[in-house]
Amino acid sequence: MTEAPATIMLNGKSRKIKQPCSATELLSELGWKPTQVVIEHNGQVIPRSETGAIMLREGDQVEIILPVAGG
Amino acid sequence: MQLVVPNRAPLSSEELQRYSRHLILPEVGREGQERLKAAKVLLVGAGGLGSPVAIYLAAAGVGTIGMVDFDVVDASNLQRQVLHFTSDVGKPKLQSACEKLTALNPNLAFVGHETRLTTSNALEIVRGYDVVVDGTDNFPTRYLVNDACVLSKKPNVYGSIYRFDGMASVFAPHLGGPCYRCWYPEPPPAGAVPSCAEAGVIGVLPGVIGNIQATEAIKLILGAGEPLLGRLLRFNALAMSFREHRIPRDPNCPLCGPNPTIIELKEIPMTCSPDDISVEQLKAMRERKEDFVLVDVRDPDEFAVNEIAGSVKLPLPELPQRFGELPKSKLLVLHCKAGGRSARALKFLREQGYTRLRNLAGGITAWEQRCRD
Repeated sequence: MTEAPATIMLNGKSRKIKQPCSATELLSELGWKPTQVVIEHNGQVIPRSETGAIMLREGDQVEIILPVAGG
Repeated sequence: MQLVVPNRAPLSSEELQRYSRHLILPEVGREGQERLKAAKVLLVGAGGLGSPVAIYLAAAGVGTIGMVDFDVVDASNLQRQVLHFTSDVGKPKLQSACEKLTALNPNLAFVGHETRLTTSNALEIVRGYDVVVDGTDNFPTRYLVNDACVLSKKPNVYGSIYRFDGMASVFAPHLGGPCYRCWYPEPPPAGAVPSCAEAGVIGVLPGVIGNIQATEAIKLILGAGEPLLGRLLRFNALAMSFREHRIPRDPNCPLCGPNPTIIELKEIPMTCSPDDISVEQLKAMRERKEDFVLVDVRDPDEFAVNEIAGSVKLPLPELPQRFGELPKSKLLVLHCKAGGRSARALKFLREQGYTRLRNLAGGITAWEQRCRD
């Protein structure tokens, strides 16, 4: 039996994600690799080596900080 | 905090008067002001961020300011690059910068590096300075600045801007903080971040972020306060809010970690989309007399300044009405000044059913620098 999807807050906007879903899987769905972004989970930056192990749950706050190059 | 400028330079009586509001600050004082005078700061980029950084550092009494830039002042720069005035359009940015900064503070030694920062010159340039301020506008140069600073143990005062958002930090593994690759080990995938597109920027934004960079550079030189090490400060002008993220060093950083895989400067390709072709590729196509149409989507007043011979002129705003003039059967190579507008033109033409499309990466600016006939 598959779990019901969960709703997280992603960069301030609500988003439904399948369950279970790791931080790496969310990034992959959005077209990013963990080596290309900074990702915060409930206010804490996820160490890159743990991105695959962090499981996202209902109500989690996720912030993806994309690189910006303009100057 | 380790001092990045160990030496001091004596002040003249004119300078004592000029910096009197600094001298009464305990955090600056005569010693700090003499350190500022002895300091050498390198600004990479004389544009949106480089302008306010240069103005404030020159005013503050930084003794030597070096600037790396190879661009000329364009009318579209004036909305935010406050170092350059209307009368400077067409002038090299370094000349314009030197004139303004030495007029503001004649005690300043200005050093112009009129070149693109490359893997072959970056270390040599960076090594001549105490602090580096990154005000560039593209990912390859940002990685190059970071890598050169880490390899030569120089603090890198980082700032970047996009539309209404800006960010700033200080990268310095030798001072205990992370480097840019701790956060972003590799550049974004092709076309994912509009670094090569002209996404627009509100003119005041580089003023806010550049002044944060100037403040951090001055603090590093004085050894005062808490530097933005390991902290990313993000600003949004619409919400008028600042947020701070604590982002530590990556123990597996490919550059500043204990087992680095990056031990020398490596080229990061400028080409950022599978639709892009380089100016060198265009040159080769022309030499082989390949069958294609070169389309210049800039504005008519820009055509008058320079052009790549043989191009069809079709300004981007007229494209929705006039795209029918372009053949669907032939390869179309689109170009503008730097590649942003032509990328938008390419997207539009693709939506109209064109399939044989390429965007000239770096636009006519890159062409003139690297391939002019």
